[in-house]
Amino acid sequence: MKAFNHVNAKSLDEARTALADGKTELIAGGTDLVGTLKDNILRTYPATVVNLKTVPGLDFIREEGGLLKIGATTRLGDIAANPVIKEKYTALAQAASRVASPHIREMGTIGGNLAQLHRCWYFRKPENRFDCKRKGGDRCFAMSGDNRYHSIFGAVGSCIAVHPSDTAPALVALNARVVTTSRTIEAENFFDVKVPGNTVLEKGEIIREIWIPAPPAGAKSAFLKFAIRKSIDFPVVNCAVMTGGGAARIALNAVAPKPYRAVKAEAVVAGKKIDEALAAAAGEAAVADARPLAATRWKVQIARTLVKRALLQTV
Amino acid sequence: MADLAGINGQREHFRVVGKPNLPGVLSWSQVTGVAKFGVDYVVPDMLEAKFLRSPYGNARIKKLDTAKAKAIPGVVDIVTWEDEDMKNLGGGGMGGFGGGGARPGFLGNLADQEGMEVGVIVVAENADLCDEALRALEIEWEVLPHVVDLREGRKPDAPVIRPATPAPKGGMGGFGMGGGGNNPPKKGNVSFSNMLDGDIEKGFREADHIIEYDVNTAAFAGHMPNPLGTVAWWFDDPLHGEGKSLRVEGVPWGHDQVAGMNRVASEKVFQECMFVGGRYCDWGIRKSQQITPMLARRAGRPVRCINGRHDMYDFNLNERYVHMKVGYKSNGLITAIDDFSIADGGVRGSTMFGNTMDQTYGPYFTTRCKNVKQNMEVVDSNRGKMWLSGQHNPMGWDTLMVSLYVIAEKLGKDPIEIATLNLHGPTSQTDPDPVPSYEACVAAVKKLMNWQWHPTGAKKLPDGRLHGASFRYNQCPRHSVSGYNPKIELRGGVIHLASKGPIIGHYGLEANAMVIAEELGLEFKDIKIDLDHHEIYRPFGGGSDGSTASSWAIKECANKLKKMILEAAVEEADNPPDTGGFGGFGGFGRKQAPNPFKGLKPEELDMQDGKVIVKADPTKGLPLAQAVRSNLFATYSGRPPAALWTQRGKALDTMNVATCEVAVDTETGEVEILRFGVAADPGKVMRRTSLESQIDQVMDFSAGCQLKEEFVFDKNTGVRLSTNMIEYKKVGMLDMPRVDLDLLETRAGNACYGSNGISHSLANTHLVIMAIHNAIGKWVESPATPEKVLKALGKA
Repeated sequence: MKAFNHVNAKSLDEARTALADGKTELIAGGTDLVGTLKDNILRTYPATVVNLKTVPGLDFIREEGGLLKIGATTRLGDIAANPVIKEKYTALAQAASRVASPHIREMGTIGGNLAQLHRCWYFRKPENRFDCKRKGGDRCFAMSGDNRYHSIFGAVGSCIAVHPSDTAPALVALNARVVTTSRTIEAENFFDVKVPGNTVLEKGEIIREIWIPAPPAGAKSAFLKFAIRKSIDFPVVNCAVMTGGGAARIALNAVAPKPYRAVKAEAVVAGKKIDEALAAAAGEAAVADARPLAATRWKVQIARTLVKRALLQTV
Repeated sequence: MADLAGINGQREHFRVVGKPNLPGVLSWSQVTGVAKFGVDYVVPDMLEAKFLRSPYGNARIKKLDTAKAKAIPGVVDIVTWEDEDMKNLGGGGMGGFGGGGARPGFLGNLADQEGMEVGVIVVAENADLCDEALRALEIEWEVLPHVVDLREGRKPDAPVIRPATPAPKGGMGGFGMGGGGNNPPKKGNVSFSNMLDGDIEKGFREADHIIEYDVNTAAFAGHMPNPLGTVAWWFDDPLHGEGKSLRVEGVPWGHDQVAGMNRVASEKVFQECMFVGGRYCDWGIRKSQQITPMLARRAGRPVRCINGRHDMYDFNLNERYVHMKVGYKSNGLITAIDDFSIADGGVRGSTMFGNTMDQTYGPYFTTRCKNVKQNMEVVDSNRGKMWLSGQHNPMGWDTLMVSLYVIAEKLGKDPIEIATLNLHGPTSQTDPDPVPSYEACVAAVKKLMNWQWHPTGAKKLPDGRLHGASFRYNQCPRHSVSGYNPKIELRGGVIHLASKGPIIGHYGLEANAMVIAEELGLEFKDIKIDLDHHEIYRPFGGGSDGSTASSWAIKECANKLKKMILEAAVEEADNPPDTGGFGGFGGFGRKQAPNPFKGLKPEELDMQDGKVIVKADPTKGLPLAQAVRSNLFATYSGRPPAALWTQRGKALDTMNVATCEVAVDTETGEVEILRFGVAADPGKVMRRTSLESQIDQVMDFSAGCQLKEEFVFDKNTGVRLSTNMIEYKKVGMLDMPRVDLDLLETRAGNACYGSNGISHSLANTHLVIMAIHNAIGKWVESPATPEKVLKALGKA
């Protein structure tokens, strides 16, 4: 790994100032960044890495004013184990508990999990072997290559790589908001397809905390992840749902370049008693707009099955 | 068979051998982290070296300019394939397990695999500078056509990636040649290997039914988590003659080869490292392990070169497409087998294991069928390399197992019944008798699994998943063919076993120590294992079977030493050695207690509980250190009788059977292995903990290769996309299958105490695949990923 300057930030302002030079990256748990640097997958390499773990007041979980608030550098393991989250925001606890491995959950943060780069084996091949569209190149190598794990809902900006976060669909399903140093954004609007980033964060903008409104009375949530391995694996498809209180929210991830809100499936179940048949119908509706490539057709089946099973878990 | 040729081969009682959980010195080193592997050695003033690795599937360096790289401060040396030192890097020969030894062209300008070392090695103050220097090289590549899809590569119009090479020669001694004579000449990328036994046409005429099906085997990686590499330096050595001596850490089994390559006497090569990282039968020495002495000589400083994580994905099994045509009678007895396969020849230097070697040691001759035809097309490719041996050696066994399963399914019978019908007797293919070891294993596994066969698709579990089961058998082999030259010493009252090492994880030396303790009436912990690279003896010849074969020689040697000990005990009783006084060390002479052996003959003594005792009255005895004050040593040179396994399945002794139960989720395609059941008869269990672990490991491998592991190539560039632990999906702790195990001991082998080995015999490519078919009635190619299962079910 090439050398870089490492700065322990004392405040978010200090971190923001450092980001202004365009040659600086932020690090919290580092579980995505360090691998990215070691494999030298990008065109450019940061001169400086700014540590957010030393900024006080970013690592917390508390209920306040009808909101669950989670600091950006709160570790996934803490989220998974928190009794309040497990009981009332179940989908998030389940999602956090399925990220990677116990070691990574002890280091990885929720902010990092949302902001991580996407998973595409062309994008991730070391030494920038494939200088693809998401690095400023002129093509998507997966489109004509091996794309079995890629998008089933088409491309965004000619890219068919999927967003790999487990917590992202849970936050979308729970109607969360991402609070940054300059604004508050609905979770489902937080994601983007950039070169090479995956969020709408502007230059110098940093995630500060996550807000999740208390679920409606009687609402339940659930999260399911389908991966090839039971541990240390990114999702093939994951799904989070929240039902009850007359509404439903259903989010899929790893099916598109951004988390996918399955509004047609929500319409099928909203306000209704969920049974096997209704859940299956919601599953069908969730993938009604899928446009899979030949190699990703199998993911459509996984997605419809996960929606059905996640809904049945809330019954 | 039995251990009739050796001393005490029929021993009935065991105090030490076969006992579980006897911790040893070597075990302690590894579990505490004290053990040092090659990459753990970091020495003062050390430089780092890195090879240029090809970014293409097949390419040649046309032009190279190293000026910018050399100009980077901290870059100490850049050596190219055209440098005289590189050209003169000597051939090391085999000299131990050293496949891949340096030959002319150690480093060329042609790379026939993405990631292969090519053209250049840079040496710098640290690894980052090496990377920077590699990036600064100005290279003009000639990108050549590549083959990563065998079926494409064998087409007549496929680009030829390699000129015709000589037909494969025989492999390691005792294996014989793969393939038969009269093979057609190479055509394009395809070499041919054809074998014919018996009368295949007659066999098919005799059949009541003929079936045809495909048995395809995916490639998979051993993936060694310990990166391979060495650090080397030269030093002035006052004790071993003129010229510098060499210290090299990280190639503990290639001592002689390294010496040969660098034209230095073996006595002047020193190593401390004895531990070899996890691997399964990959004995290949990599370039990173061979290059450092030359670089260190040039630089005048220690140089380290280690492979990166991405460089450790060589094949443990080659890809193969097999089309089977099998004739059988109405009762299920096979009359003809026609096995056509397309196998991966890999890149230059790839072993024949996994292709033509399978024809020599395929499974078919364990059956009564004498009409066997095997035609193989070996396709040159740019996919990668398999070194020396591999996970499944020999690998053809499951082509037979699938035949038995398919026949059973057609006849509505239990595959165990069909397997038993077809298995010949112990002495030949016409022997009608049952094989006692096989019968015992089958009985054991049926009990272990509460075996209740069901037809395809007939059993649904309470959670809605479909249940499937499968069965296979194999012979417990012993392919070790080397002789052994152990030396066991009584020194200062303590027994020492000297070995060249290295420690490769199968604990062969500790099995040897158990045998010594058994034969000399000692405890396991009393045997001292002395490791020194300059020694001769090592307990190799494969894994567990090397342990059993070497232990046979150890048993002979231990009994020689025992005879010497008993003779010395009597001699010293009758003529006590001086214990002190002037002229020796130790002060004034003392009066000795009466010696119980005085006047006795050696045959009246024995060794028991750490003592030399009088047989007629075991209460009379002396601790070993008091009974014999002399230093004694015994050597033995020889090997046990040849194993029956070398008869290619035509004679059978120790056997094993394995079963598998799966649950298939037909909505997601996910397959869960509920459990494996294994009943294995290695003849005699030597080191029980090692054997149990070896079986756990091999079933783990089998689960991985059949469900999750896959080499993925970008077809457009030949680049490997799955050379990391995220994309190459070895089973994790939560995916490891349960293995229920019953170890039998019929003593039917002829190595130590009637043992043989396990070796690769339980490693399988289709036990899980057959179970999936039993569950859903569809064949799914391995790895049977959810994607493939869903496609087979028509849901994708």
